[in-house]
Amino acid sequence: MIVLKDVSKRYGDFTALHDINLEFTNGLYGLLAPNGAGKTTMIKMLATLMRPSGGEILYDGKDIFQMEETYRTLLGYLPQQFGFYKNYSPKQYLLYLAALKGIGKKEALVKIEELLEKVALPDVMNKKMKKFSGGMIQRVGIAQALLNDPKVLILDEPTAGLDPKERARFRHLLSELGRDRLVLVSTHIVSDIESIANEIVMIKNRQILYKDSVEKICQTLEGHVYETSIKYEELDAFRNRAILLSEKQEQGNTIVRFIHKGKPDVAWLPVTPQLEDVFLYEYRDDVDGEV
Amino acid sequence: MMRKEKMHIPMPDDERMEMEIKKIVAQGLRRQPSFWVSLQTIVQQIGFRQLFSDRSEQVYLWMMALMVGVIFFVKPDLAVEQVADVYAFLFLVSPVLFFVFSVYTYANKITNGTYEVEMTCKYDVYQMIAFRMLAFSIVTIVMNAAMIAGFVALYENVAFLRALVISTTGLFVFSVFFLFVMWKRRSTMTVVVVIGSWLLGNILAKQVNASLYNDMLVHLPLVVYALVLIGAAYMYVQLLKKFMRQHNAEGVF
Ligand SMILES: Nc1ncnc2c1ncn2[C@@H]1O[C@H](COP(=O)(O)OP(=O)(O)O)[C@@H](O)[C@H]1O
Ligand SMILES: [Mg+2]
Repeated sequence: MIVLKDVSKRYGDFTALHDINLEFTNGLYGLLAPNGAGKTTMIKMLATLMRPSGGEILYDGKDIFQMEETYRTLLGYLPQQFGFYKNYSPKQYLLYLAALKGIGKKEALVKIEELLEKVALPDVMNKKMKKFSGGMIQRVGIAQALLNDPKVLILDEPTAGLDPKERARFRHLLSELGRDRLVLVSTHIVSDIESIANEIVMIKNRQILYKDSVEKICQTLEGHVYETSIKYEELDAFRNRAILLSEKQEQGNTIVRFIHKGKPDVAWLPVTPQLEDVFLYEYRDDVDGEV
Repeated sequence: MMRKEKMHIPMPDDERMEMEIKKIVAQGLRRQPSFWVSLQTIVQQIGFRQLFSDRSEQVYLWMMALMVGVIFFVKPDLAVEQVADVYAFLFLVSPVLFFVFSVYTYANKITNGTYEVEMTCKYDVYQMIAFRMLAFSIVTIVMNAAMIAGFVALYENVAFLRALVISTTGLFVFSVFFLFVMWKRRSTMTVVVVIGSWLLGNILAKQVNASLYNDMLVHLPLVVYALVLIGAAYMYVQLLKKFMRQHNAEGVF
C-alpha cells in the first residue's frame, strides 16, 4: 500500500502540487487530468525520481526514499518520454535493463520473450529500435516496466502514440495487471481508463479533486446533464445558457450535450453523466483545444 | 472481475519458493551487507558485459585507448630524456580518461532519455558509474602496466615499477576527488572545476617549477608514492561504498 501524506512539490516559486493526501492499494488507478495539472510531477515522486518539497510517501509504512533499492526492486516505471539506445534491439535493451534490475540472464531471456509476445512485438525482437514507430517504442517501454514483475507499476501517459487497436490491447493488458498489484496510469484521455480503472484520481488546482470510482464521480453531475437538438444558428445563444460539453451535426440540426444546474427546459432529454462529462465540466476553463 | 479469480489458489513452484525464501531471508537480514558482498552480487547479477549501456560507448572507449596508444607509440620524437614528461603524462591522463568516459556515458543517457528509467532500476545510474569506476580502475591499471612494459622495452630509463605506481596513484587520487564531488552532489560547475584544477594544477606546477615537479615525479622515493597510493585506494573504497548506497535522482551534472 502506498500512502501520500501532505505531499507538496514546488519548482522554485511555483507550486505544482499542494498538500496531497492519497492512499493506493492493489488495483488499477487512473490519474486523470489535463496537461500541466501535475500528473508527471506526482508520478516522478512516486518513482523516487524527485523528492517532495514537503510531506512524505510511504510504502507499507516505510518512506520510499529510505527504502532505496528495496522499493526500486518492487517498482516498474514508464516515463512520459521513454528513451532508448538507437543501436539496440528490444531484446538487447531489455536484457540490459533486466541486468540493472538484478534479474539473471537466463531468467531474463524467458521473461523478455514472454513480454514481447504480450505487447505484440515478437517479430522485431532483434531489429534495431531506431527504425521503430512511436507506438512500437512505447510498447517496448511497457514491456520494460514489467520485467521485474513489479508490485507497483507506474505508467506516465502510456497510450501516447498508440493507435486505436494498440490502445484496446493495452487496456486489456492493464486490467489484467491490475488484479494483483498496484497500477497507476496517468492520462488526459478519458477513454483510456474509463472502462478499466477501479478508481480515478483527478487533480485540479494543485490538489486532489476526486479519488473515487467512475460511477461515484459521475454521480456528482447526476441530473444535470442533458441532450437536445437545436438549430445551428441557436448555438451561440445556447452557450450562454448552459455549459456545452459536445455538439454533433445530425440532419441539419445540432445535437448538443450540456450541463445545466437549474430548472430544465421540457424539451431537454436528461442523460446519464459520463466521465468525459465530468472531465469537460471540471476542466472547462483550461482544456479548450486540448482533448 | 476479481471475484471469479477467488477460487484459484496459485501454488508457487519450487524455484519460485526458493527465491521467495531467499528474498525473505535477505530482507530479514537486510541493512548493509558488506561492501564486497554487494559488489560480488552486482558482478553476478549485472555481469561485465552490461557495464556499457550502448555500443557507442564501447566504440568510444576503444577509440580513446587507441589514441593514447598512438600518442605513446607512434609519436617518434619522444626522446629518452623526456622521461619526466612520460611520468607526468601518465599521472595526468589515466584519470582524465576515466572522467571523460563517465561524462560521455552520462551525457549519452541524458540525450537518449534513458536516464529516468535506469534511475528507477534496482541498480541506478550512480551505482553503475561507481561500479564501473572500479572495473575501469582495474582495467586501467592492467592497461597502464602493459603500456609501461612497452615503454620499458623502448626506453631503458623508465623504471617499470615506478611508472606503474605513479600512474596508479594518479588514478586513485583523482578517483577519490571525482567520487567525493559526485557524492557531495554539488553542481556541474563543481565537477568541471575539479577536473579543470586537476589538469591546470599539474600543468602549472610543471610550468612554475619544472625541476621540483619533475624531481617529485622522478626522484620521490617509491615508498612515499606507495603510501599515497594506499591512502588514496583506501579512501577510494570508502567513498565508493558510500556512493553505492546513495540514491538521488535529481543528479549532479
Ligand atoms: N522542472 C520543472 N520546473 C518548473 N516547472 C515545472 C517543472 N516540471 C513541471 N513544471 C510545471 O509544473 C506543472 C505540472 O507539470 P506536470 O507534472 O508535467 O503536468 P502533467 O504531467 O499533468 O502534464 C506545469 O505547470 C509545469 O509547467
Ligand atoms: Mg505529464
